[in-house]
Amino acid sequence: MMPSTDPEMPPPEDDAVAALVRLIPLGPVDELSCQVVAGNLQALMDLTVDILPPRPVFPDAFMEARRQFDAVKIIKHLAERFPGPTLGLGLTGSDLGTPVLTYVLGESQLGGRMAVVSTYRLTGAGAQRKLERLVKISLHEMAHVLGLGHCWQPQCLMRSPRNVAQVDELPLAFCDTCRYEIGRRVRNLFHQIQSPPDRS
Amino acid sequence: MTPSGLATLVVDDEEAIRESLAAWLTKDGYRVETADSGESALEIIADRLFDVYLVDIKMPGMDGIELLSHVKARQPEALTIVITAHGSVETAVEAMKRGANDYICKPFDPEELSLIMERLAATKALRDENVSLREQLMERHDAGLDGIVAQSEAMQAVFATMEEVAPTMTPVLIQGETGVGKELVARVIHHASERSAGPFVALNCGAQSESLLESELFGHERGAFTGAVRARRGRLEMATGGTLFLDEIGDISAQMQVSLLRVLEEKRFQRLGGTQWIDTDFRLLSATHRDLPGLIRQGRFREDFFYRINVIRIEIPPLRHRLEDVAPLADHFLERYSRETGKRILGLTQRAMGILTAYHWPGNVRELRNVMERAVVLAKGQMIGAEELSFLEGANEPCHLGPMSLREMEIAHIQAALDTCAWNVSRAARQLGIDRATLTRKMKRYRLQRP
Ligand SMILES: [Zn+2]
Ligand SMILES: [Zn+2]
Repeated sequence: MMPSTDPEMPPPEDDAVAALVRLIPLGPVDELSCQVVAGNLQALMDLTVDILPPRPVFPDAFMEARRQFDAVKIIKHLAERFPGPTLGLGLTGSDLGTPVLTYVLGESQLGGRMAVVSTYRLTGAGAQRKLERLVKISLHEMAHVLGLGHCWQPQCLMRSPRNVAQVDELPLAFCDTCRYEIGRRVRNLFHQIQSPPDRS
Repeated sequence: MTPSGLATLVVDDEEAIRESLAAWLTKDGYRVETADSGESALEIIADRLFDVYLVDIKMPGMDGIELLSHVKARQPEALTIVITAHGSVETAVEAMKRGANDYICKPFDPEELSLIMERLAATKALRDENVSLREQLMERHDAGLDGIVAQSEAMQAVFATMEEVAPTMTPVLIQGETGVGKELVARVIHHASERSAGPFVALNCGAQSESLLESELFGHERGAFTGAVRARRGRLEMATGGTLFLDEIGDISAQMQVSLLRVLEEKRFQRLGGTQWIDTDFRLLSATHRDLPGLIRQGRFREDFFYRINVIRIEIPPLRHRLEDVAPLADHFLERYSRETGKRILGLTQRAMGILTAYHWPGNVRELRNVMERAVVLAKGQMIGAEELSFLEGANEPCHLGPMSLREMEIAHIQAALDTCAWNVSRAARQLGIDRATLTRKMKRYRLQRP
């Protein structure tokens, strides 16, 4: 099967090592945020990142009554739009909710491929703090995508933050157990992407 | 706290709700299954039961209220939360009257959902503890001093101290491993005190997150934090006129120690988000399995707080240090479970009793109870023999230290029995199931002497 030609997906280069994660800005997201998130995914989780050009948030994910986008629907769209083993992280400035929760800072498929994170509720403590929060939530959600559940170690980014203030209390680091698990799963992902199943 | 795999059933006719709720709970460590109707939920629980049920009230066919009454009839201890749409709180209140533990309006505020689930997990943890404690009672009298099954001298000493301190207002620290029955001791002290007519309010501090513990203890005003949709009285308030029992006190943070110390000194406190002072009047009993002086040396527990709670200390020895209590406890549980299962079981064979007394009981009385329950279920004849206890891992450990001759095994076994009975020959003989003269003869033959 030929890979579909898509103006949004960069053409695969023969000598380039394929990235493990696509970072997909949904709506306007500043360049710096994307780069800092990408840098931290690489540094703390060994996840290489391709930053794609921004695209609009999927309009049918908008929940009129709640003036929010449905994070679950966005994730479904992302999974359809970007098939294959590569993971995806949507980044948006719009407010997110789910059918059960009045809002979420981020949402992800546990052990799946896609996550989405919103900067909407991260403001109010300066640009630097906002960026830190965004990075923590992005890494936390991507660890969920790799299959990690919440962790109860006090010094671990996989603790479940119940609100933005608790995000600030989280360290930008994983505990030994979670770090080991992430390493193991990223290695598997790497092999999966480097040697795709025979397509003939 | 860790939900440590609480089995949870989510029942909702809307797929989107079902799936996102299940996903949220799974990330938090719950083991989740879903059902799309009351009817299919009943089919699932015909097979197996769950710890927690999250049930949508409004469903076509069997509604949530009806499903709940089925669940409660089958499993009275089930933890249940009803899910309701905004604006139909009356139905939720109706469900609460019928025994639902809590309700939540969808869509949920994420903090409120966390708080409700944490509270539920804490209730479960405390209840598990209580069940085992209740079962240590002989089910006669109202938790009187004679309610605890124990013959050992060590436990007699514990009883004596309890009797002495019960009538006073003195704070007592109860020390002992997990499963020895610390809460039971606290209850007995309360019942024997002059405050026995007042409430006995227990809280397991180890099973709670910092913020939940704070709101459980101090209570909160409406709107004190995002999840606080209703004002709540805390345990400090509920214990007025009675006894407050704080289990796993060694697990609380330094900051919480300061807050509690202040309450103990000033005898008043404020609810979270509140401005009014509320006077306190409770007796404090606390318990821990930790070595608090050790924690103080490491700077992890405050010395001033320790002296406040540790006016009198009661130490409950682990079961392996009072093996003479194993036989009466085993008989007690045997009788209880054979009555419950309707099996006519007369007792334990001498070999079976030997296995029980040789075991080191890391899980203490609670473990012994579980072992007896299982043995009764497995039992094929009228006696429980060694076969019924074969699941007891490492039960024969003292005999499995390597290749040993029969004689070496006998020596090791006798030595162990004597050690645990502090070289009281009569008691060791009883435990070994032989008479005193035989044991004396064997001791002479093997040259076993008091160290
Ligand atoms: Zn999470
Ligand atoms: Zn961790």
